[in-house]
Amino acid sequence: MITLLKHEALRTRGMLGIGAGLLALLVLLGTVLSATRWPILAPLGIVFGAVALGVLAPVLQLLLTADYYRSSYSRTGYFTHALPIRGGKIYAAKVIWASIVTIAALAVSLLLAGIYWVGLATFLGADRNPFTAAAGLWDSITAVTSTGLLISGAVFILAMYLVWPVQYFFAVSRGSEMPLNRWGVGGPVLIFVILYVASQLAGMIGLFVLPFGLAMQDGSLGFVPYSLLDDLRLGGGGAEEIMPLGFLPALLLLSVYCLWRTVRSWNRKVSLV
Amino acid sequence: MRYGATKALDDLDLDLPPGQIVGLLGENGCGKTTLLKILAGVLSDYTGEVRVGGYAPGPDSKALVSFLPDTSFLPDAARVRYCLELYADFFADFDEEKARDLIGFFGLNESSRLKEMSKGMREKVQIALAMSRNAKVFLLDEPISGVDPAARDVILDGILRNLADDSLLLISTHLIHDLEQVLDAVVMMRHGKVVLSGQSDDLRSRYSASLDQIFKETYR
Amino acid sequence: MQFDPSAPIWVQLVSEFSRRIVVGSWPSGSKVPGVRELAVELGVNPNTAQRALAELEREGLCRSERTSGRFVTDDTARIDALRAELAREAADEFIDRVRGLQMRHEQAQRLIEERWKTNDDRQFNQSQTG
Repeated sequence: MITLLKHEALRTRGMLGIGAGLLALLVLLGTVLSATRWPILAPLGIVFGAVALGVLAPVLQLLLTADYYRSSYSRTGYFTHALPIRGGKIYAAKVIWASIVTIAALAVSLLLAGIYWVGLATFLGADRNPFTAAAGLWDSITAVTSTGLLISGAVFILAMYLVWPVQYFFAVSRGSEMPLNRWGVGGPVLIFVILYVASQLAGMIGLFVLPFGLAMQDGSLGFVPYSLLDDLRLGGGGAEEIMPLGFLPALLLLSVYCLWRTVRSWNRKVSLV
Repeated sequence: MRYGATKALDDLDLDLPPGQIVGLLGENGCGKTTLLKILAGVLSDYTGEVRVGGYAPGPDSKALVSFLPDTSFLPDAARVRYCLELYADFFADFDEEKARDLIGFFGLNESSRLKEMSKGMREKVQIALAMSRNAKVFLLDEPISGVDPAARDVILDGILRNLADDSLLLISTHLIHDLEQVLDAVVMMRHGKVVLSGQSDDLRSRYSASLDQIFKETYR
Repeated sequence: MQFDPSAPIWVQLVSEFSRRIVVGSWPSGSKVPGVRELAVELGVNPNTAQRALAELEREGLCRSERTSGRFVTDDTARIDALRAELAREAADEFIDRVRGLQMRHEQAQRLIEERWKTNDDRQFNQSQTG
């Protein structure tokens, strides 16, 4: 497994480095521009910086998905699938590597956000020290949240990032099985569209089955009943401060299915054309 | 094995003993590549029974099989040196020393990147790597069609010099002339079926013709 | 060497190896090169070379010793017999061809006498100049 991870890293580090480097450069550029407080250019810098910051982790995940396709189902797949290693294990290495990259990307994003704050605060005329700002934000969160909820919140956000590679990889693997494999990347794209629709449906069903949400109550965050039907009946205006949670188990279940089905694909359904 | 409505392989029954160099002959699209892919374990949509060295295609069989596909199967951005490391890390039977010698013999530089090389050079790298495994079964898909005559001689020489007594080498080609004297046996395929197979010298005396002539006659 | 690909290669190898024994490039009693070495030298399959050597053994032209390898026979009478056999084949071939040219026995005999001498001179001259 260590050897597999080592070669995942060696193979993808150049591509990831370039992707992350370019986006980080954009964030820095945005920061500098916003600090100038020039008209037009400064707001533009704020927007670009924010976008670059927001897409860093997703872009790296998409790059890894492209590599996943190339290394497993394109020409290089002939090497990968001829290795004397069980397919599920190779797949596991790719998922673990994607998770490591995602976490690292989030950490880098946090760091860049600190730098970005300096520019933004200059523009807004606020306190430029990112640590003061972070401490302020932290205080306002902990004031309304219990530690347990805070931890589950963090886990939730992380999980929302980590399920993406699982779903992408599933789409690529499932879309490269017979008979879709004849269409090249068309198969994965088709499967991803189907998966997307399925996840929306599963989310909706989840909201019905588990009618709970998160909302502010008496000055702190807590679980409250939530009904999608009521929400719809009131035209979406009534319960907008409730964050529904029912879709979450559905999404996780779907991701677990994706994991299982992709392992199965690697172990017994590989069909290189 | 089916591709849509047409079968790529049809009712194929083959038993290849070790210690032989077997030519898999046939026109493009006759099922040669499909057969090699199934044996290599990169194509699992087949019905029927397949055993390689006693194992169904899977990790156990792959440990015995050195597969040389018809494409550039190594990462384009990689250097030759990295490819050597890849093989050394993943194949227990890889003889790195031998691969280094062959790379040097082909006049290739270990620090070159594959994408900077010509197609012929990349093929030589792949041949050097695939032939440097002490595998029980070698599956070579059209290894001599793209390379120059000098490299071809080196490949054939390498095969004759290095192939272990108990290894099987299955080599697909449509250029029989170059392999005429090297093949123990041939399997000629057409439309997914075996049309003719046998020991080379038996076929020569039965038809009083060269394998090349027999091949041309068979596909007329 | 060039093979005729339309005839079994192992048979052609037997002829080639026999020739080597008769002309002394594989001297009587000497060690025969290994199968793989021969295969690489001649560009043939090792199994084919093996089969040809087995045939030589069967004909008593060489023998295997379990540990040290394969040796050309030291029975010079056997090698002389082989030489005679090969010469007979060559003679038959010659006779066939000159007969085909409508030549009579006495003419053919005279021709051999004459050419034998010319070839001797030529070889002598070549060895002088070379």
